[in-house]
Amino acid sequence: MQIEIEYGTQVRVASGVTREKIETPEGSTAAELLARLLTAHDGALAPWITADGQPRPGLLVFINDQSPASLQNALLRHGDHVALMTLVSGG
Amino acid sequence: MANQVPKTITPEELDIYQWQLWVSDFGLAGQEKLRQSSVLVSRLGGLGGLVAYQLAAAGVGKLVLAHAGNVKPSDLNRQLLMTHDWIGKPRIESAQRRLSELNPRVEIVAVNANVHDDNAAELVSQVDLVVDCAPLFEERLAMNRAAVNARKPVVECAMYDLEASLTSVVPGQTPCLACLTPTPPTAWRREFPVFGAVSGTVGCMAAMEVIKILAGFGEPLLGTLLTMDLRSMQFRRRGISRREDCEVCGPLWPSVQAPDA
Ligand SMILES: [Zn+2]
Repeated sequence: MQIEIEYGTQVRVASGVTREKIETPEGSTAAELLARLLTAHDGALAPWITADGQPRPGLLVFINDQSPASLQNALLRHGDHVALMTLVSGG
Repeated sequence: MANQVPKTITPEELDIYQWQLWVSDFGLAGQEKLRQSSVLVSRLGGLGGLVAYQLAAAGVGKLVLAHAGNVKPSDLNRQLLMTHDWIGKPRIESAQRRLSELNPRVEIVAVNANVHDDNAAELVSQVDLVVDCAPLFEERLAMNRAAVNARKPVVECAMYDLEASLTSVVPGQTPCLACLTPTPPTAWRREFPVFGAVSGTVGCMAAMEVIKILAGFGEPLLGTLLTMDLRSMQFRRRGISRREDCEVCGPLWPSVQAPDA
């Protein structure tokens, strides 16, 4: 199935793209997707994602504009929109 | 709404606020609430400066302003309360001067310090609502803790590059900042790219959140993070969840009883 990924500004610097589409196996969880993204980008997302697909402090993950209570339990469906945003702080 | 003018609103104030009094669900009652309200703005940079400017213009009764340091040339691309003639002199004085010129009716408490664990509770105790515009997460988390402990609402606004975000925290009703990040993000760096037009945009929107919450109208961003990408002009409302084990706001929520065995 295909998942659409959106990257916030800080993550975009590492991913090199603003948006992309990723193929994942049916029944993938959000945590599995994040681990897959870490590999797909040769570890460039390591400042925000741990090896087991957990967000590091400051990374906000939204599935269809909602933050799931748990990424391990969040089952993805074809066509889902997953946003990787960072909590920003400045002015 | 009654046609009677609340006794604390003067004819001069009616003249000044006339155009916002035409907002039908705000009106005189809303103006009176603003006048009786006090707001703490943490940092008066490109973001907080615009928040304070709009709140002073709108007639909030008292502003407690916290910002340390002297005006630097590199402040001037975005910090609209700072001026060239004040370079090398305290930012808080420049801000107070500019705000008093704009609206001399507003009581201003100028604090030449940034927020930290030792002064946050005392600063929060002076006001009804807090606007967090600080660039350091340590500062933001100290403010969040003090405001949640005091059960005071916080408008959280932030930006980086052409991206900005905004949400309103009501302790016990919405997630707090520590729900989103219990500790400062490790990847965060103090230097951030910024146009004044980006920080000013979210600053003005934050001021509108404050006005709505204080006057009690409209729909504040409760449990919702508004993210704005001004590069593509994409604005999205995203639902945020509280963290059940949040050390800061967790105690305010009713605990879920384990079912009897
Ligand atoms: Zn919390």
